Parts: sequence; C-alpha cells; structure tokens
Amino acid sequence: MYDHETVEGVRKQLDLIRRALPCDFCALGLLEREGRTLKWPFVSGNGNERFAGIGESGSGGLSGTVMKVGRAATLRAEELAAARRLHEYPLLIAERLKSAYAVPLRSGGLVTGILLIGDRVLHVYREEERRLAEREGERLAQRLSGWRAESAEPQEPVW
Amino acid sequence: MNERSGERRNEAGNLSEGAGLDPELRERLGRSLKELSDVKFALDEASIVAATDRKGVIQYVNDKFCEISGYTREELLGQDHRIVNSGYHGKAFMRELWRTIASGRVWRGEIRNRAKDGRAYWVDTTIVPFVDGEGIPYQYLAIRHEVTRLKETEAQLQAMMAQLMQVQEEERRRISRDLHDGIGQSLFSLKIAIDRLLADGGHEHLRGLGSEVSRLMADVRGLAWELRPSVLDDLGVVPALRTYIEHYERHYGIRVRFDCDVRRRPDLLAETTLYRVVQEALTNVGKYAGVAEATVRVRDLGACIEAVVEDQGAGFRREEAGRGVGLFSMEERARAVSGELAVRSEPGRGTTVTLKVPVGERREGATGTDRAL
Repeated sequence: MYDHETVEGVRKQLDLIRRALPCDFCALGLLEREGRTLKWPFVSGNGNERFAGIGESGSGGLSGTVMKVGRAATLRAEELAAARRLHEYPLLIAERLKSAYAVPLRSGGLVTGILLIGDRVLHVYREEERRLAEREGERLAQRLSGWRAESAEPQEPVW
Repeated sequence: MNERSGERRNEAGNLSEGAGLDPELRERLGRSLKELSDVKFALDEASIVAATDRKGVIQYVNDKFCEISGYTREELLGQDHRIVNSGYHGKAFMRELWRTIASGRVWRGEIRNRAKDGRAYWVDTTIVPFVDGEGIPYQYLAIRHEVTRLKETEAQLQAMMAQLMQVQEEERRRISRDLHDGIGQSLFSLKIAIDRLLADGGHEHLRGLGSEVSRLMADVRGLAWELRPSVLDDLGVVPALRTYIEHYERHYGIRVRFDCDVRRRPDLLAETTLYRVVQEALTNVGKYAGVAEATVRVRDLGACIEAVVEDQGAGFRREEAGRGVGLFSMEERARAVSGELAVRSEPGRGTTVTLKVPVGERREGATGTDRAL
C-alpha cells in the first residue's frame, strides 16, 4: 500500500512533468507484487478511467521491451499499427496517444517500473525532452524505491 | 428485336420511296437507322442477347446465346428462360428479379444457367425492360456476358483461403503444443533442479536464477496460449472464451459481459471459428471502439450457434473502414464453415458483429489432433 504522502507526491510530480515538457499525458507504471504484470497506478492528463484496469504482461508491449531490456524507447502508434503490434500497448490505445516516450525506472539494479510521457498528436521528442523525462524518472524511482504497485488477485496461469 | 428492327427497315424503305418527303429528313432518318443497326450489330458481337415479351417468352436470341446454351434458335424461340434454368437460384431470387423488371427497373446480377448438354455456365446479366407510355413493360432485353471462369476462380480462391486458415490453425496448434510440452517441460525440470540445489545449500545466487527461469516459463506459457490455447481443444470453446475474456479485460482495461447458454460441444471447426471470430471482434473493440465496456453473447439455437459481440462505441462506416483485414478474415472464416457473418455499425452508435455457425454433433471419442480441422 502507498501512504497518502507518497501518492500525493507522485501525482504532483506527474502533473509537473506534464506541464514542464509539456505533454498531453504522463503515467507511472509499476510491476505488481508478484512481479509479472505492469499496472498504471498513477496518471496525469488521462482522458478516461480505463488505465486503472489495464495490466500488461508477457513478452510483447512495454513489459516485454522497456521493462525487460531496461532501455528507454520512443513509440509511435502509427508504426506500431503498421507492424501489427499496437494491441500490445493498451495504454496508448485507451488514451489515444499518437507518440510516446517510455523510460525505465530502476531500483537496486532491477527495472521496477516505467515513466511514460505521451501526446495525442504526432510529436518527435527532442533530446532535452527525453533527458528531462529520464531525469524525472530517476527521481520518481528514488521516491518509490521499495514500493510496488498494489496487485490484483494473483491469477493462475492458464494453459 | 430482329423482327422489330426489320420492320423498321421496311418502314424506312417505304418512306424512302414515299413521295413528298423532305429529302433532308429522309437522309437524317436513314442515318439514324444505320446507326441503330450498327449499334445492334456491335451488341450482338459483344454480348449474349435475348429479348422476351412481357411474359418472358423468348422472341429473339442472337448467335452467341445459341452458342453458349447449345440450343438452336428454333429450339429457343417461343420458350421461356426455364429452358436454361439450372435450378441453382432459389424461388426468392427469381421473384426478386421479376419484381424488379416488372416494375420497369433494370436488374443486374450473376446467374448460373445450364446448357443443353448439361454444362453449367455463369452469366453476368443486365435485364432492361422496355416500357410503354404508361410505364408498363412490353419487352425485356437481356444482355449477358459469360463469367464462368471468373466464378470458378472465385470459388477456388475461397477454397484456398479456407484451406490456408486450416493449415495456419494446425500449425499454431503444433507450435503451441511443442512450446508447452517441449521447452515448457525442460524449463520446469531446470526449475526443479535449481530448487533442489538450493535446498541442498547451493549458492544464494541460484535464487535469482530460479526466478528468471520461472519468468521464462510464464513467457513460454503465454506464447503458447496466444498461439492457440490448449483449453480450446481440451475443454471447448466456452471455457476458452471465458479465459480469453479474462485476459482481454485485464489487458485492455475493458469490462466484458459474457452471456452464454451453450451446454454442448460443437465440432472442432465450428469451435475454432467461434473462438477466432469473437477474438477478432473483441480486438477491434479494444483498438477502435474507445469504450470501457462490451458484451459477448453466445447462444445455442439448435441447428446453429450464434455469437454476438457488441459495443456502444465509435462505430464506423463500412466503406471507410478500408478492407480491414479483421473484417475480411472474419467473413472468410464464417464462409469456410458455411456460416453467416453480419457487421452492423454506424459512426457514434457502436458496432455489432453477429456470427452464425451451423453445428454438427461432436463425434464421440474424437480428440484434439486426430480430427481433421
């Protein structure tokens, strides 16, 4: 569980990032407790509430790329759709993001989450924007070190 | 038509001999008639032409009609088109045709006919009613082009598509099983070996290795499940859909109301079709509808099973959706099992995909792999 102070602190920081860049949408993704599913407990600039139900896992999408490799990535919905991979990025779909930049959050050598900035119009993230996102990602990681997203009921794997 | 234009020619002849006619008018008339007979000549060269009276009795056929049907002109004149009817089209089809032309409108479509020797041939057909002063047809002119080759190729293409989808499904099943039974089992053994080493006082680093292997196992399982869930073969389409929907809800953050009254297992081909079409339709909801809720209903209607996927989201206009591969493959899948697929959508008013699959009873003792898909 997050204490009230952390929750409010993270929210404010996401709002700040969104205004500083600026960008349309900003979200913090964290692995839920058993470390398999990427959830989005904190967002700023959301267009609806679908983010709360989204849980990404498996070998594709953000959990299979940014989380696994531990490197930041630029995402463009159009390119993902052309490569038939857009469905692996439900948050981009739910928030109708055309462009996004995802930064891994590290804690103790492990990737524990993602800071995602996104726009509903096509946007090319410049060097200084990407650096700002990465710096903010580090600060969020420090603030949250030791925290994990609240998990839904663990699911039995299905065969 | 021959007779009629023949008559006209005689009239023109009489007129030309007639006294007191303006020479300029006479020339213009002659030119018009020449043009008319040229057009008729061109039509006869290009198309299969027949003319009937208002009751459908054949009054004129050109050489091409005789050639393709195998009947002589004498055999055809005075008959109606029943002589070349193949029985392929139902009563409703013919009624609709007659209703259209009898009301003075042009009918267009493809008809399968039968030649004298029993050979079936397809003709792309246009029937033009000629109407009198009161708008009542006194003659019908049928202009046809043979499209047998085209229809045959179309049928072959569809058969190929169906076969391709079967091969794809077989291949998916095989790879899924290999992942599950091969790599999956090996990883499981590895995990147990690591756990044993740990229990025997092995190095602490083994613990990290152990959880890496667990993660790998989960990835492999996930891949196998995405390719083709074995629950579809082992337990059937309803449990498979339930599991798919659970995953779908968590992945897209969209709530799905699943309503199902199917208590039996249809044949495997029907099950695969139901599963894949619902999957495709839900994926479209996830990608395009922009909703937080959707409904899936699966109903047992006796001779067939009906699956409906519905949302109240963005919707689309069919012609603007492009040849969306999703729609196309759903239609092909339905066709391959003699099913029906209907997509109803309107911008801003949601989308409903309805699939009806005829089902046979499942053969007892049949298992996942020995049944031909």
